[in-house]
Amino acid sequence: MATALAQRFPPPEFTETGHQMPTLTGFPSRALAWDYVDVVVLFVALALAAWLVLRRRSRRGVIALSIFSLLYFGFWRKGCVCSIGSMQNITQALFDSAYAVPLTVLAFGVLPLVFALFFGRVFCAAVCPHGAFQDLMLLRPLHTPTWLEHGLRLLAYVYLGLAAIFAATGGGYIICQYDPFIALFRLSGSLTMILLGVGFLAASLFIGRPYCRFLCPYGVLLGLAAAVARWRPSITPSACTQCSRCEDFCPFNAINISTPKPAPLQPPSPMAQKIRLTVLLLLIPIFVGLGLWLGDAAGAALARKHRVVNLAERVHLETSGTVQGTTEASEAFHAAGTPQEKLFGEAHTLRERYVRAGRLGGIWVGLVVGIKLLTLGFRRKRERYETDAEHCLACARCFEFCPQDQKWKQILAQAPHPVHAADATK
Amino acid sequence: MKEEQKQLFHPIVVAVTSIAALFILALGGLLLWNQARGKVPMLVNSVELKNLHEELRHHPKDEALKLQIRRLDFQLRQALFARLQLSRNATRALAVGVFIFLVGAHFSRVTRLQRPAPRRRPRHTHESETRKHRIASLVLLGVFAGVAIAALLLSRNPVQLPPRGAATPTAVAVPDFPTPEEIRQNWPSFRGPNGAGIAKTANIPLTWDAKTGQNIRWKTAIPLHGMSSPIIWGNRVFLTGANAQSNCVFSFAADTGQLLWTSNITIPGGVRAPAPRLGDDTSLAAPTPVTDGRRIYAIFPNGEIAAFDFAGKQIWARNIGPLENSYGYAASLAIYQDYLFIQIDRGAPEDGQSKMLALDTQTGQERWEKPRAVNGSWSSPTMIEVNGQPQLLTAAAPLLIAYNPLDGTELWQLKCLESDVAPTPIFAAGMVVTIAPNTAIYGVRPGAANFAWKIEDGVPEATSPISDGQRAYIISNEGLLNCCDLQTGKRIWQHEIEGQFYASPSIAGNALIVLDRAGTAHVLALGDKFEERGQGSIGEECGASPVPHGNRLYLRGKEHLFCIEAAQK
Repeated sequence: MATALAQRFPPPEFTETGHQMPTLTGFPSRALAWDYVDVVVLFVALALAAWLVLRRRSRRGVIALSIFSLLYFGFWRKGCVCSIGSMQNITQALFDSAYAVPLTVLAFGVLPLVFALFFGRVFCAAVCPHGAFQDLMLLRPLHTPTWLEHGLRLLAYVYLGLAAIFAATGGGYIICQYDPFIALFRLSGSLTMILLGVGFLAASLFIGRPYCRFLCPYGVLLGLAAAVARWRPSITPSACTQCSRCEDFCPFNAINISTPKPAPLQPPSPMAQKIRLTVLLLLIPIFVGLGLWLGDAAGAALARKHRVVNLAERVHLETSGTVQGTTEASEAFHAAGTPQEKLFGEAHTLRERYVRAGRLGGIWVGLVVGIKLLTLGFRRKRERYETDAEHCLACARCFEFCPQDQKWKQILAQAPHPVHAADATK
Repeated sequence: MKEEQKQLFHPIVVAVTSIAALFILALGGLLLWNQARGKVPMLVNSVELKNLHEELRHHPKDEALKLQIRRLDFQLRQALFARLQLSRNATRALAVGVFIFLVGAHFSRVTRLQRPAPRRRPRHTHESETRKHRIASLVLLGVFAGVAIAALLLSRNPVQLPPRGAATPTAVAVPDFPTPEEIRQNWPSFRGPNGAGIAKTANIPLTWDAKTGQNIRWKTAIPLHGMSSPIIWGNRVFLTGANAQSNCVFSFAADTGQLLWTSNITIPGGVRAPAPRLGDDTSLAAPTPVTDGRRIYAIFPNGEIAAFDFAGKQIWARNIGPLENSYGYAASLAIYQDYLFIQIDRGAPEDGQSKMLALDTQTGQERWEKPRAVNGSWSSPTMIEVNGQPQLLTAAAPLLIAYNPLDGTELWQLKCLESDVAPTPIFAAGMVVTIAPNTAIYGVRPGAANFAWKIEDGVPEATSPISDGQRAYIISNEGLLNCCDLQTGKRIWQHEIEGQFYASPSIAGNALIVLDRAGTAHVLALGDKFEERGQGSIGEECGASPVPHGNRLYLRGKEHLFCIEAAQK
């Protein structure tokens, strides 16, 4: 892959040590055609995942595709472009008219969402290298208590809000900066990021996909799309016997159990239900207001991540004598001789932008908390065990452990002509 | 898989998996330890290397020390690359170990004789589910509270930046610039006060000769080559010189010619930008420095600009970016109050590379910047005063532009120039005289829609015009000296002088000094007829403009700085 490069300047001669300068090499830029190949591979992998999960109901097929995705999108493509990060490009393009998002990046961002709208989170099932890595590591899943699961899931919504704020304001792509698996895919990175990646993988041995469930901001979007999906993975191809094996073996707490019946002597009072509904509905604007207030307060602080604001604050602290010494950035600024007023003016503009974005982010988090409380207060009635469309990662484990599925597979294996399990259930 | 096969394979798979796990732990630990030790810092932070570098600063010519540094640097680099290689190999081995562990772990589950049974869990009841959801709601609120606390902690102690438009401490410093009278008494910039080239009260000898020493007060070798002209403030003469390694300002005692100090520009924390490659006709120190009597300001073609105090101490320095153009950067600096002006004309108008830049003389910080839709030029900006209004006059094809020096607002412009403009325009008695090389000499009234007059004969390439207030004198590079009426452009006389002329002429009292390339100056009478009053030679190639001041004339030769003054009898 390496190509010889021309020396711009004559290399030094190491006469004393006899050191021989190695030939200068570099890597050729990746041909654009390969980016299109990636998009095609992504599309085919998504289609294959949908077929494997919804038609073939094959856990083995999902594992095989996961291994391929991990190797191709993870180790071969070094985890970039990835769909998770691409949403930042799209967000930036929405807020910055000078930025044009590359078509391939757009495709990586949109295709999994489109598939999720129709087939559920098949991208998470076997196409996302991050998910595949964690899933393949899972050895002895520990059950995460439901209450903890609901609390931790909020973090992903907060992370999504933060990522959108930073992408929209030019503060950087934090999802990429703090991607725990990139350093592992590239076999190189800072110690912190390597440790973070190793930590997530170690956790993945016992906790099913911790990053996907509790942090992945793209997973939030996929979940919202999958919640209204036309075709979703169904645990059993026929009648649910309520054996609860799927619930036991789902490592992601993504099974909605059939609704237990209330004790006959204590039926829920309709009036109490109405009052609770009203309270919970009223809580939504309250949380939205709280979020707005918090976002407003945090906006200026978040702006510090922007290099211009950071530099302006440093220069101001140096000029006012609050801090001693200089940083490399402030030294360069002083040497360039740019007027401080200009820097402070830019910093003010950026801070205002961050505050506006922070308010929106706060509203988003407040809204999510309000709606989550509402959904926790009122449960839908279910007659059978079902996948939680929003949080089901379509890993196909529940199929494997469903006795009805096993039974159908045996019948199909003995059938004279090929029949799909999904067809058989009709 | 059959039971017998499971019995056979299970212990093997478990053993392999366990070994892989131990291998991962050991190698992972080793890698982390190696990573924690740091890699590049071992080279950058080597105390021994730092000490040696420090020692080299005190003994810059110690070859043995240099060799020692190189050897140590080489050893450190070898160690660094060996550690990097080790890290790479270990990472690969670790990846293989993880793979074996994962495959082994999964197979160990497959080969297990007993399939895992579903967990025993309490039966879901309406009450238990309701309780769970209540707890979940509380946890959700707890996480939200955590996020809220984090947001509030983040927003603590914000740095209050100065409000928009507020002056910074450096900007509110007390104005520190010379009075017009101070300027008139000195020769602070290229072609002196207002760029006119005139020292009204000067009284210089009519003849001199460097060979015989006649009327040569002193002659001092210039340490570095340059084409810039001398500037004078009080009893000091300042010059610039440069080579590929140094950009220097020299200070000489005006009375004795003694070199008082040499200061080399040092960009704080920066690497020196390479000097552009230039032909023999120019130099790396073509722009003339400027002084306000407080500091001396000098600019060089590699983009470095700096201010020095009168003791030679650098006050500020910065690099304003590349100034390369086809013949080398030559525009001298101009000054007004505490504004320092740099004319940067490069490329074609559509390239968008040309601009006018104003810096704060005290800090070097940018005051304003204005783009210029002009070609590359070698002309210098000039401060003039039109009806009491200060104007910064610039010339570059196709535009003659005047700016408000305080904010860079364009006051007027006239499209009349073409070609590579090198001559600097002058302003005298309400008339700007500007030159489009090899094309025409124009008389322009400031703000007028068209030029007042135009001469197409004897147009110079490089020399600037001069005026005594009634007449304009223009000498072409080939020596054709035109004298014309300043207001009408009507020719008064024309005379051809033998020689090549690159230096712009000067006026000392009532004498016009034109200096040829060979170093011979012709002292002519100002007036309606040509009259040569005397001649002097410094015997050295000369391209810088003559600088009359008091009873003296300062000339920069290729190698020496000369001070000419009538010998005391």
